[in-house]
Amino acid sequence: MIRSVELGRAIQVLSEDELTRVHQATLDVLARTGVKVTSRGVLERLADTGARVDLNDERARFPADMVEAALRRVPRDLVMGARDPANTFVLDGSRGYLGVDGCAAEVLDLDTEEKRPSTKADLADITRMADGLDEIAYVWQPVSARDVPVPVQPLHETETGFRNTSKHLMQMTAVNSDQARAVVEMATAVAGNPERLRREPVVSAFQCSLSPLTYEAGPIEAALVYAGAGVPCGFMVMPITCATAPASIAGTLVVSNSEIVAGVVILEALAPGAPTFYGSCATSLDLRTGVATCGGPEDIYYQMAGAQLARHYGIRSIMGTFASGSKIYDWQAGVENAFSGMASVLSGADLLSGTGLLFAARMFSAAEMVLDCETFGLISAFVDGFRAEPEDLALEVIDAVGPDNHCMAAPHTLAHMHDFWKSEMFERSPWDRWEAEGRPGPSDAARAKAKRILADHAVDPVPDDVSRELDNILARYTRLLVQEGD
Amino acid sequence: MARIRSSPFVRRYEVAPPEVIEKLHDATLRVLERTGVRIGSERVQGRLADAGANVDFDNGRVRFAPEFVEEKLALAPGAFFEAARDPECDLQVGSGRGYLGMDGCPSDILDLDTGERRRSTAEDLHKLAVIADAIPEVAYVWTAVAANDSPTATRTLHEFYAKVTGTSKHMLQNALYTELGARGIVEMSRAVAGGSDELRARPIVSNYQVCMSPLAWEAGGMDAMVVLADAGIPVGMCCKNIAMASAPASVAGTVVLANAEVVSGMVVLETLYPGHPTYYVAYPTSMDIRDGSIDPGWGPEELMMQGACQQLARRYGIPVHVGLGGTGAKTQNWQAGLQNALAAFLGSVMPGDLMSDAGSLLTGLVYSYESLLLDTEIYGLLCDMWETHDFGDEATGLDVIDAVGPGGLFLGQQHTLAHMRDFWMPRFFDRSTWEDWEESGRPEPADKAREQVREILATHEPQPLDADLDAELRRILAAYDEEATEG
Repeated sequence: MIRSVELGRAIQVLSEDELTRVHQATLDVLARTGVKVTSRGVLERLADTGARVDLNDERARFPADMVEAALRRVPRDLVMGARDPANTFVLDGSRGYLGVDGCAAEVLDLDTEEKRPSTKADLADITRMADGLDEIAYVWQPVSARDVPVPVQPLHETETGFRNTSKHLMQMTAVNSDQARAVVEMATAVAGNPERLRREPVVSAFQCSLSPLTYEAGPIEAALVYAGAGVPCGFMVMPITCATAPASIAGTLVVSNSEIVAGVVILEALAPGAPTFYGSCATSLDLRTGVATCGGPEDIYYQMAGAQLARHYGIRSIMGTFASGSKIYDWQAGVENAFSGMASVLSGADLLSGTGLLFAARMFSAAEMVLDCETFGLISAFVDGFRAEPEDLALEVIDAVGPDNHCMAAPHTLAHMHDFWKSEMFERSPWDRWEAEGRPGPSDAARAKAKRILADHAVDPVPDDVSRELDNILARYTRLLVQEGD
Repeated sequence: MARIRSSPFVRRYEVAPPEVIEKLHDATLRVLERTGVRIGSERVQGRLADAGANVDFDNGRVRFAPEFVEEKLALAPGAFFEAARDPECDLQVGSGRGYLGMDGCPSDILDLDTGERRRSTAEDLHKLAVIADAIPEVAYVWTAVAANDSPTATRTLHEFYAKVTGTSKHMLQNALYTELGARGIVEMSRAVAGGSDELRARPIVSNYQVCMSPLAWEAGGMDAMVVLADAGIPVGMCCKNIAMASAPASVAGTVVLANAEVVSGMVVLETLYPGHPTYYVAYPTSMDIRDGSIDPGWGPEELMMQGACQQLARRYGIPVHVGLGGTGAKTQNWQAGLQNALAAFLGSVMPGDLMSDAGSLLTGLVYSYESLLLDTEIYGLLCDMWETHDFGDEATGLDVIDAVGPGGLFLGQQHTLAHMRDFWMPRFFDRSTWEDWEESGRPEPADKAREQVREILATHEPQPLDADLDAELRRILAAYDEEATEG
């Protein structure tokens, strides 16, 4: 089962005028400054489709009408297939879905609460836990498999993903055409045939720009490989205000929007109608410490404005959601993730990411993943709203109870008390018991739940023939891509 | 730096469509007409009967016809003025900016040195007033904790004194439920303001009265309201309903009950004092009777109920108060951060003219010095986010984007140097390196807040009271202590 959240009454964070200014400025940037694309092949093809290309400078500039035409070619609805068809979902702007984020290089150990480098075994464990959490609809590579050879890390990660969850996989670490081809082969094996993969893609992907305004050859060529197989490939950008983006909210939005739109234009120019989505993890630089803020007012604003721009274009969006800058599941993580959770949902982001990340996306915590799921559940129940039918208005109860009385024994209370949301993580024991038990907190409950899932949850295994095929693909690409010494 | 940080009004969200709000309003009218409320004060009962309300003098039950309710509600002003000893801190309530207050009134506090829970004192309240005086996020000062070491009958006056000596901001005299207490507060406030007319023109205190849910207004509170309103002091109307305990087990039913209570208080006030300033305060919550555990604080139902009450107040055109905190957590942990930030986020897109809850834990049962500062971090961040941002050409920076070009860096650019100080800086969020954090013993946000509390208490000097005024306030205190003892 997968839970999702209603995206009803979306907040418009940008006024009409502000949105128009951002869009117009984006067209100006793409026509005047353009983007750098370090793939000669892609540049040559872009030149044939209306872009102004400077091969020496590796620069592509896009006239406004080319941009507008490309935006119109993007499919409005996206099918996100899954190994288990019951976990397939459709993005059509009406409901939002939560995913496990990636790709941290370190994990916060569930037992010791110490930080350590992540391994392929961590990846398998976390993916399996995500499979056991109903709030999670799709799974990235939450941590790097740092104990396998670098050139085939993404392939180990994809294989581990398919084996440890029957939910939709989102591949974020395959960043060149060879790796993307291997991912497509694995996904085809899991889907059964290329037609089913195209119809109900069990994997999607995204590629990142190099801010500001650069797409390297590998990622953009990988995007085209995915497009060829019908695998949705979005564009995710992470400009940092004051560092890789201007020192203003408006300027950062323009850079982030320009980069995403440039990716979409390239894809739709070369593979018209290819499924894609709009992704932003824009953040800001803390000038005192030199780190990404991941949780200030700018971050939240970028999320909401990004979701609004995507909706304006009619493109499905993925927004960097939880991913607190805090180092542990503390007050700060609670604050930042409440803000970003509300921001993503109330602004109508189709895909929410960030689950489980701490320390500004550098470290994954299974306990934080559990807490983020609780936050998502709470916000989902909130936006579901309430009914106001006669039974809910309860005038008979109010009149029967009257002043100076209580409702605890009313039949209406007994009939409806289970309608209320129930927290699994909030600490609610009497003060004395809490003291006697050593002041336990939500993080203790989260760690306990994470351990329980890890111990108990079994994933539907991939069929034997698919399993062998995944092994074969991995072995073949290892021979192809890994040199002696890697 | 400005002494008060007000919040921008961003009306961008509604928890229910207008037709649902109308249903809730209609249901409220039916409750007030059919079930009515109990009003404890015979004096108030008589004046309501004279004005045309249906009063049953045997049991104190008062019922209001729908037209009567609508007519009286329409008398409540849409905006009013709350003065401060320092005019720079005057508040224009209902003017399109919001003001944050504290919370009140727990009897317990977490000791600043030991971190242990203990009974609060007048000294705690004074210190909290000094901190509130120093930080711009707090615009008006509540009786944040009870002065448990003062005489019970005159406690509210000792609390007034503890606050007025610590702050020159506007004071909310919450937790005031006796006629004697109200007389004392009026007398002390007049002394501070410089006379009766001066207090009427510049009310340096305000109050709200709390309905005893379900549907009962006690005599003491009603009598206090009369004394305060006579003196020109704004009186808000507050309800604290608990779904499944004092209210039905549904969001809609609890909101109807909450609205019936607040509206009945306003109808009483506006009947007796037409046009008197009042505001809408609702703290609906829920109790988990399924497993007998205590109130968890903010969950989805609490957010919905607060939102629906805010929309009802807006429908009536009456200034509204919203809660931004009051977590159910016992310490400044993940839950405290999450719940208060959820409530504050909702409060920022469904804004209140007045806001509260900074500083409390355990659903307002325990106060914390550290939480007072941490909650203002949440509020300040949201204020920053919702202020209007500059989308003009210079701010957008198309020229600098072109000059930097693909692959470049904005760090050293003139545009960056000119704007880099525009951004929010955390006081308590941690952004240090992992190594520094480990070496410092994994400090928590509350640890940083504690340091700042100590620094404020060591350095902040609130505007002192004139020596004669101080003596006068002490004389009034002593006289009321004596009157209470004789009584």
